[in-house]
Amino acid sequence: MARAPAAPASDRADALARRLLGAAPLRASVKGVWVAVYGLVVVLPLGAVLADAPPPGRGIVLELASALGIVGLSLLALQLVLPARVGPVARPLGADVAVRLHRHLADVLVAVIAAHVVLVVIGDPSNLGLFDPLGAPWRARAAVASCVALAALIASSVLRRRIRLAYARWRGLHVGLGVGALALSVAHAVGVDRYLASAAGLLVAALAAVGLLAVLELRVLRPRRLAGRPYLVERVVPERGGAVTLALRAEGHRGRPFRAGQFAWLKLADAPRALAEHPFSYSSSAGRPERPSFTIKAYGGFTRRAPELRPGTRVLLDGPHGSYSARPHAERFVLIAGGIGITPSISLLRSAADAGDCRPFLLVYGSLCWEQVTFREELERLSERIDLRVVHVLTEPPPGWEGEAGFIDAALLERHLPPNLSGADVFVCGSPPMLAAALAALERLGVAPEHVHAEQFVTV
Amino acid sequence: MHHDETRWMTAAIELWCLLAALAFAALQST
Repeated sequence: MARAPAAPASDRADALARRLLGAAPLRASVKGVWVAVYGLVVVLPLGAVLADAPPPGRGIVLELASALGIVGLSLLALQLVLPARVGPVARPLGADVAVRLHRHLADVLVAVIAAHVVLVVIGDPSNLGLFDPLGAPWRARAAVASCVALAALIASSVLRRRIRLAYARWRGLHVGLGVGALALSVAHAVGVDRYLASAAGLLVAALAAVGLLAVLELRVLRPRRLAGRPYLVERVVPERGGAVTLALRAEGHRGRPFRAGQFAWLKLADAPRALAEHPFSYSSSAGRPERPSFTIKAYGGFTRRAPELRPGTRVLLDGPHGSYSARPHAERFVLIAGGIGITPSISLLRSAADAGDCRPFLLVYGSLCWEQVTFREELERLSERIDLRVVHVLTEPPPGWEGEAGFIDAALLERHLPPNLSGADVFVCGSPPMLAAALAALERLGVAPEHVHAEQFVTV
Repeated sequence: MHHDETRWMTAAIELWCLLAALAFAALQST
């Protein structure tokens, strides 16, 4: 069989760059279809009630209360599925987008449940008696207990840092309260026994089962699968700026291919607690998936223990995840990084260098001082291999520093960003104030929002 | 200002849930 003629070297480099930096991004229509399917699933039980010769209505207010109660139950069940990193959610959306959607839909869920409770009382003021903890029927007590569990879940999420709740403990509490709230809501619906006696009840039960299965997959089945594909810590390399790089090697497998800009949940293979896992951006080149590395700055919790890891420690990686995918036809890249927010950018630059990418890269990189610029020397070397210009911004510049000083803000970005950014892909990663300043500046410069990918680094 | 697609997704789902609940209530109370 005749072989196709080899592609010219530049085309091959181009193809490699696209593979390492990003595949064709999913079109917005895919996400539109996903939202439509999600919306249909949420209201499916309502449709089943109507299709099943329901009992006569009791006035629009109480019927609206019932409808919101059923919708709330569906939303609650699906809330367990969204962050579970399962294919039907994580593939079209990206695990990071799915978690953000989970957070935003929590607001919708609270509004729906609050409206349900208020309308139950407005529709029939005698229902106020349902809040009597001694005299109320068990179905009402189940509903109140479910609301209390949800309130505790939200409070523990909002106040986690303030009450110094460790990330792993918070995750355990979060899942436990979520499952508890769902079970109590289902009990409430069964006790009310009005609309969920037939097909609609089966649908709600199925949604609840899917939610519980998603938790089982995330907490039990997935960790077991990952245990069969461990990585070894090969080196622990101290970096400038108080960071360390964990250089890993796939043990007995080839590693999972990833795209620069993605992240993985990292977990010690021998850690007894299954909930202690932490998300970090890949900092290595996507060209070597069998040797991924993660650069971690000690902020507390697991990040403080990272420098103490010994070579030979076995770790598990749940990844790659993350929706970022460089546009294949981007003409140039603008990377804006603050502190340890450099990690996805260094992965992009290393991948570009490995792929022989010829496109121009501009890195605007904020650090505390010159001595603490993580990857300082490597950035110098990379700028000799690829078309890279680095603008260092130092909060505490040394005497005689002629570069940029202070913080990354709109005026600074306007000085350095090229005037025409229409073909550029922009990746921003840093602390909340830096992110806000950079995004405001990009808006002023007229960069299309869909070409800007922003990530706020989190300290967990 | 960056393109946080979860905003339109959330708004669409929220609106859809509200409309579906209102439609259910209207149909059931007539």
